[in-house]
Formats: sequence, structure tokens, C-alpha cells
Amino acid sequence: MKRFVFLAVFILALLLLLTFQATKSSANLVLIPSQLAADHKNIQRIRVGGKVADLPFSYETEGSFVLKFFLRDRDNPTSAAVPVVYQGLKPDMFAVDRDVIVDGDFKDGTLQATNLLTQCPSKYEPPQPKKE
Amino acid sequence: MNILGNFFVAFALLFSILCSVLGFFGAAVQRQSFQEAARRGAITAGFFCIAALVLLAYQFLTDDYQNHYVWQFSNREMLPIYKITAVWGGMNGSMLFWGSLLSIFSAALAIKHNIFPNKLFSYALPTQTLAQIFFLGTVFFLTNPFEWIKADFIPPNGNGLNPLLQNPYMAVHPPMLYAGFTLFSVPFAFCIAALLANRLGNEWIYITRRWSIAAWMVLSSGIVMGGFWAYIELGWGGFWAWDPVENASFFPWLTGTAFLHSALIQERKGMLKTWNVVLLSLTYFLTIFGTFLTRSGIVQSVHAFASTNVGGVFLGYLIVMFIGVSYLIWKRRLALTSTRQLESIFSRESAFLLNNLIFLSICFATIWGVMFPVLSEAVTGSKQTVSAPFFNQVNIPLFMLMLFLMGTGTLIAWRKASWHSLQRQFQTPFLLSFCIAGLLVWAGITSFWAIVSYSLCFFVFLTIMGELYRGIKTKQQIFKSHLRRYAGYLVHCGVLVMVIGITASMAHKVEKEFTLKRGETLSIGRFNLLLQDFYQKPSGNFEALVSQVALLRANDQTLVETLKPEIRFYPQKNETTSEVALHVGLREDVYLVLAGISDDETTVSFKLFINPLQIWLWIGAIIMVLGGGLVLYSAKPKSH
Repeated sequence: MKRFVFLAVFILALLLLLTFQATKSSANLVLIPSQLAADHKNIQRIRVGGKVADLPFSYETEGSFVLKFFLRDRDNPTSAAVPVVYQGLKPDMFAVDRDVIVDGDFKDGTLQATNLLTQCPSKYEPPQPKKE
Repeated sequence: MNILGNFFVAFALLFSILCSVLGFFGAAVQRQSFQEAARRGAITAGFFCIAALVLLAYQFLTDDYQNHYVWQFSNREMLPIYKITAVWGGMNGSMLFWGSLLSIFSAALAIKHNIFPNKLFSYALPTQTLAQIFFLGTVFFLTNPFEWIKADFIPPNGNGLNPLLQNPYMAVHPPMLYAGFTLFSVPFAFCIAALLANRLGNEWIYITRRWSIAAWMVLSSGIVMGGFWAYIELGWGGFWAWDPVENASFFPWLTGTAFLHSALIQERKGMLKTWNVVLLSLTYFLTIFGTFLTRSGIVQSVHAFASTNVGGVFLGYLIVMFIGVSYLIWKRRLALTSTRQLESIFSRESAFLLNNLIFLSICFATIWGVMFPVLSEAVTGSKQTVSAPFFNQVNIPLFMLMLFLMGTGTLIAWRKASWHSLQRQFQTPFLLSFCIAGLLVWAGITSFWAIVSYSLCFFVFLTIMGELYRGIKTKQQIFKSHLRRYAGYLVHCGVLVMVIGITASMAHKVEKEFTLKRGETLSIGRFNLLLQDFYQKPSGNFEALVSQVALLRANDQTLVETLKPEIRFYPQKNETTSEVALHVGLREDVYLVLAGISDDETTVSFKLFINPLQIWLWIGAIIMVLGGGLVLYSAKPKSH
């Protein structure tokens, strides 16, 4: 029984070590766009949640795929918009005013995105009915 | 209509409360009349819940936009089947659905079992209805799907369901998950009843064996179906992103699977009594906890749910339950002591315990990853998050350890395995697996974890084959007396196939972005892709850009399949989705996404994924669940 406890503790120690190590090497700081716009510092490995701003965005698909758009705070339509460059496939449901999550590095005023996710809008609080 | 719906929910709630109050009282004082009333209350509540659901579905099918929820999640253009699935497409409807499932199971319990005078049953029914009281209460007061339209006019058309959800797999995936979660409530109810009635032998485990296995089967199917839908619909070439909502469904699966194993130990050896109570309670908690996480808004996810005050209510429920269950366990701690001790680290009991430990470790690590933003902000003031790399780094080694245990646990003796028996049983499989590892390295595979994974799968396969061979050789009546064990082996075989599929499709995945003009070809791997044509095609409520690509075998140019990936634009909602073209093969999947078209409309761009052995993940899952069905069949109810 004592040997078993020893083994269990060993496995738990392994787990904690793994968890700690993995957390350290893959943690992303979570920010919002206005924090980036205000600060101008270069930061690596961040995750930014925001809305696609109502500004023109471009999607190049010849050669490599490059999506360029502007990101603003979710709850403040007039907040400063941060330019984002994402090299990859434009995700489904990507559109102006859609909530997105961007992982990447903030460099020289632009968010270089390594990962881009659009949030599934159906279960989000949809707009109220408007008279047409 | 809305008023009628509210009536149904209110009555369902009232009868559930009646059932619980009368049931507990009747059980405590052992009065049959009260327990009879409780039974009838449960059945009535079940009927009212079904009525509420049917009414809601009817409102959807008849485009009744006087109901705000119906307006939110449907429109006239939707196919009727998706109007029905929209019932659980939003928060309010899904809460009603969950509460109704609980009510239906209570009613089933009430119908099937004569409660009096079995104390276990008489406590289990009111406990089960406690859960539905919580959900139905939340529905009626907080998240009611029978609300009037929030406008001063009736809109001519609805808002519509997200097109991504209008897909057969997405129609089935949420109800399967909810059913999986709620099926665990029945074993939990009997567990609590056992604590209340002080009947802490194996009785409650025998009675709920089939419910637990069914819960596991349904939950496993639901989770895999979600992954399958993500794979064919979302266009990123993968099936699992360690997103909080995915993880939320995974937590109870991990502890539930652990419970199924440790329950075996209690049945055979009378050990782990406290552990099983704790584990099952934890499983039930996690079904609620996952819902709490994803609907309270405290954790960001791509599956965005509106954050409402539902979070607070769920947290309250969890806290009350935690206190209640802890108290009960403490009160019955003497009755929960085992009749046997762990004798040796080299024993099947030990392997099962370690198995549990690993499942819980994976669960802990995953919870840690999901909660990290909340924890980091609370502790350091700045919010940090982790994503897929974290989960893979921690969980892959743990899963590998689990694989190893799957093999050793199969063979190792009960109580205390002698060194001699260990040597005899494991020497050959170990050596052969090392050879396989060497072979894989020689064949050019460079990924360390892939090699570990394949070798361990081979190891486990050998142990199972060894058992099968021994069983046949000694003329064991597999189908008469040992069905459960061999059914278990079948489940494990399914898991092995899944692991191979997951390993190959992750470790050897090929991705490529490219552009083609009409008539041009891309050579990659075993295939050539020839762009034959592309064109615009209007259809229903969307306009499509369709491309036609011939998938050819590179060596002899035979046509394997014509792929037609599309981009669809929905003008009403100003959204685009891409329709992935998928060729499923036994050796690999060819997954083609149409990305865009050049301004001069002469070239189109694609992203291609080649996912080796992907189909074996789905095949393995089917084998696993079918094996589970066989285990269910073999688990004939046994009286103590």
C-alpha cells in the first residue's frame, strides 16, 4: 500500500510539473484592442478579443492567404481600432461587427495574428426585431 | 400559446416539487400513500414537460413569432427538421430540454419500479426530481422560452438559425450531449439515496449499472459527433480544439469513464466505496459545472452564449450540492469503509486505481486550462489564457500512460501478481512493441509521441489478443459467462482504433495553400488535383461560388472523386460560409477548402489538408460505442 501511495504521489508530481511547464510556455496574455492602441509597446503571445470594426478589410487569396482588418473593443463602437494581419484562411462567419478572438504578437502597431476564431453568433444575444 | 406553454412548465415544476416533498417524507416515515403520490407526481411532471416541448416545437413549425424565442432562432425559409432542432438551439429552449429529459427519466423510474418498500428506490425518486426542480425553476423564472415577442408588433419573419447549425450532425449532437449528461443523474440519485438510506453495499451500483453504461455510450457518441461536425463543417481541417465548451462536455466523460472502471472493483472486491460515491458525485457536478462555465460568460469561447444571471443560479446549485453531498459522505463514513485493502502495487486493483488517477489528472489539467483565465486574473491581476498547445502538452503524455495501463490492467492478476506471472505475460508484448517502435523509426517517422502512441496501441492489442487466445484455448464460454469482459475488450479495441486515427491525422497531417487556373494541376502526395471549372450558382437564400476539382491518383491518373468545394454568401445575413469538399478514404482524407477567387476571376485559391487515417477515428468510435452496447446487454440486473 505504501508503494502505491508513493507511485500515486509520483504521478501527481509529474502531472503538476507538466501542467506548470506547459502553462509557462504557452500562456497568452489577454488584452482588449483599446489597451493595445493606447500602449504601442511590442508584446508577444497575446490573445485579443474584440469586434471586427466597421472599416474596410481586405482578403488576398493569390499566393498566400492574407486577411487584413481592424479590431475594436466589443462594448465601445468608437474605441481605437487596431490593425490586424492574419495569414491564413478567412474563417466562416467572419464579418464586420462579428466577435472574434485573435492570438498573435503585437509588433510595430499591428497585431500579427497566428490564430483567428470567429464566435458562433447564433447563441449570442441576437438583435431585437426591427420594423422593416 | 405562450400562456399555455407557461402553464405546462409551471405544472411540471409544481408536480416535481410535490414529488420531491412527498417522496422524501414518505421515504423517511415509510408511508406507502405518500410514496405513491410521489410516483404519480413524477409521471405527471414528465407528461407536462413533454407537452411543453411539443408545444414549443409546434410554435416553431407554425412560425409563431408571437414567441420571442421562436423569432430568435428560426425563419420561414428553414427546413421543418431544423425548425424542430431550433427548439434546443438557444439557451432557453435547451434549459427546458434538459429539465424535460430529467423529468422523463424520473417518470421512467416511477413507472418501472415499485418503490415501496425498497428504501433505496423511495429515496432515489425524490432525489432525481430535485434536479429537475432546479432546471424547471430556472426555466420558468429566468430563461423561459415562452415569452412574448419583445416588440410592439409581430415580425413577418424570424431571425433565423445560424446556417452552421443547419446540418444533420448538429441537429443530433446537442440532444445527445444533454441526454448523456442527464442519464448520469439517475445513478447519482441512487448514490445519494444509498447514502440517505444507509444501504452502502453494492446494491445501488447493480441497480444503476445499465444507466451508467447508457449515459457513457450516449455522452461518448455526443462528443464524437460534435468533433465530426466540426471536422466536416468548420473548414480548419481538425476535429477538436480544446475549446471551453468542448472541454466542458469532456470533464464528465473522463470522470464517468473512471467511475465505470472503479465500480467494477467495488462489485468484485468491495473496495473503493467512498471513492465511487465521490467519483459519481463529481461526474454529476461536472455536468452542471460545464453548463455553468459556458453559459455564465466567465470563460470566453467560440461557442458564445449570452451571459445572463443563469451563472449565479448554477453556482448556487453547485455549492448547495457540494455541501449536501459532503455532509452525507461524512455522516456515513463508517459504512463506507472497504472490506478489503490494496495488497500489492502489481495487481489489477492497482492498475484500475492508477487508471482512475490518470483520468482525474487529465480532467484536472483540462479544468486548469479552461479556468486559467479566471485564476490568473484573480491571482496576478492580469488575465492570461492557454490554448491547444497547453492541452496537448499535458494530456498527450497522460493519455499514453493510460494506454499503457489499458494493456497491463487487462492481463495482470488480481490482488498480487507474482514476478513470474508478470514476466510470462508481459515479456513478449513488451519486446514486440519495442520492435514496432524501432520499425517505425526506421520507416522514417520522426514524431516522438506518434511512435510512442503506435507502439503502445500495438502493445495493448497484443494483450487483448492474448486474452482472446487464452479464452478460446481454455474453451471459455465467452458468450455465456464472460460476455462483459470480452465486451469490455471490444470497447478497448475501439479506443485503440480511435487513438491510431487521432495520432496519424495529427502527427502526419499535410497542409497546403495554393492557387490554380482552369486546367491546372497540383501534385501532392499520392494525388493530383486538377481544377476543371468554377462558376457562380444562385440557390435558395444564398449565392454560391462553386469549384470543380478532379481528385486523381498520381500514379495512373484514375479519377478518385470529383470534389466541389464552395463558398456560400447569404445576402440576408451578410455572411459567408465555406462548404468543405471532403474525400474520405481508408488511408487518408483529402479535405479541400475553397478560399477565394482573384479579382480578374481567372484563378481560384484553395487550402488543402491531407489527414492520414482520419476515418479510423470515426470507425473506432463506432466500435467503442457498439462495444459499450454489448457491455450494456451483458449487464443484466442482478439482485443483491
